Amino acid sequence: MKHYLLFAAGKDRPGIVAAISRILYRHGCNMADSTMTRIASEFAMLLIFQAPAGWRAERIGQELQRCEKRLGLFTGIKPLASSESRALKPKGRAHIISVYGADRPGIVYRVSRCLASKRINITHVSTHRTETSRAAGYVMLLEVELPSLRMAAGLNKSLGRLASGMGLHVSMRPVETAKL
Amino acid sequence: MAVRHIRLFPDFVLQTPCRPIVRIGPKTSDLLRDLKHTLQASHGVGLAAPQIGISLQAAVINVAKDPRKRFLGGSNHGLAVVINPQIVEARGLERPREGCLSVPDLLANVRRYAWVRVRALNAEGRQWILEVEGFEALAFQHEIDHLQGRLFLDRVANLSTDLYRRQDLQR
Ligand SMILES: [Zn+2]
Repeated sequence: MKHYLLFAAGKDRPGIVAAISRILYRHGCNMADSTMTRIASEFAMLLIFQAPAGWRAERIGQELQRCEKRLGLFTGIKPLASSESRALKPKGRAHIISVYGADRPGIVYRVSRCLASKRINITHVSTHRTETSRAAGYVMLLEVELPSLRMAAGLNKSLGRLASGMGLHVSMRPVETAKL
Repeated sequence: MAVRHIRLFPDFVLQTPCRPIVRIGPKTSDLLRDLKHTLQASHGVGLAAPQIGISLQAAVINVAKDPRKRFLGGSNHGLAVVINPQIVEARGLERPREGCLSVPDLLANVRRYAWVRVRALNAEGRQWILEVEGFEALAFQHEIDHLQGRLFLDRVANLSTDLYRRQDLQR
């Protein structure tokens, strides 16, 4: 069984999920993990599916193209090695980082560069720009994996320095999980 | 009656920790009156001094009229005034979806305590200890955060309502 990654994005309207999942269903493909969301007025989906033995991606190419035309979508398919379709083992404890303040260029870049320089993995990011008549604000929320408490302390310090230099507010806390 | 303009994110006063009030006098009474009037006009359940541009530790909370109190339950102190409040004990876990008068566009799932004991001064400057629970406890924690220069964005519990794989959980 071979796995593929499929993405599709376009102006939000009813029927996008139905159209894509219909193609997969008709070809005997099983949808595995997916994330689908609306961002501003666009809808984006990113999913992994499992194809039957002997199946080739070109088979749905035409149907996807028709779908692109009809719904104004932008799509792509990428084959995955079997190891790539499995969920990764966590590289530490999940933490949430909140960064916010007046909008200015470079917030996302400088925060993510700080994480990358410490080889810290980002697992989720969500950003929002807000605007009032007086000023624009920026909110960046991240979920990261931190292998050790020492790393958490070091990161907290670096982010604190970075944030105060940019007039931003930053805070970090571990994600609490209740297993019931 | 002075209804003040509500400061909106990213106003820097909202991310600045407030100074405690050391002398309770006529200025404090003016501040509390403005907070009450502005809260009433805004139809919120709580308002902290920095939200009207004053970086001092005072807030007013009133959950009595809010319909959410009915289904979230808990205590109800009516219109409560707190000066220099501190959470001295906390229990339980709630994950409400919160917003803020000062951050009009955004909502987030946050982590809050279900019950807190708060030590504060009242409008006359006498110390009082309140135990608040349920919706009122959420409101107290939200306003006390404002006085520390924090927004509900600092209490975000998870980045989405997604399902997570079991192996992603912490042991
Ligand atoms: Zn608020």
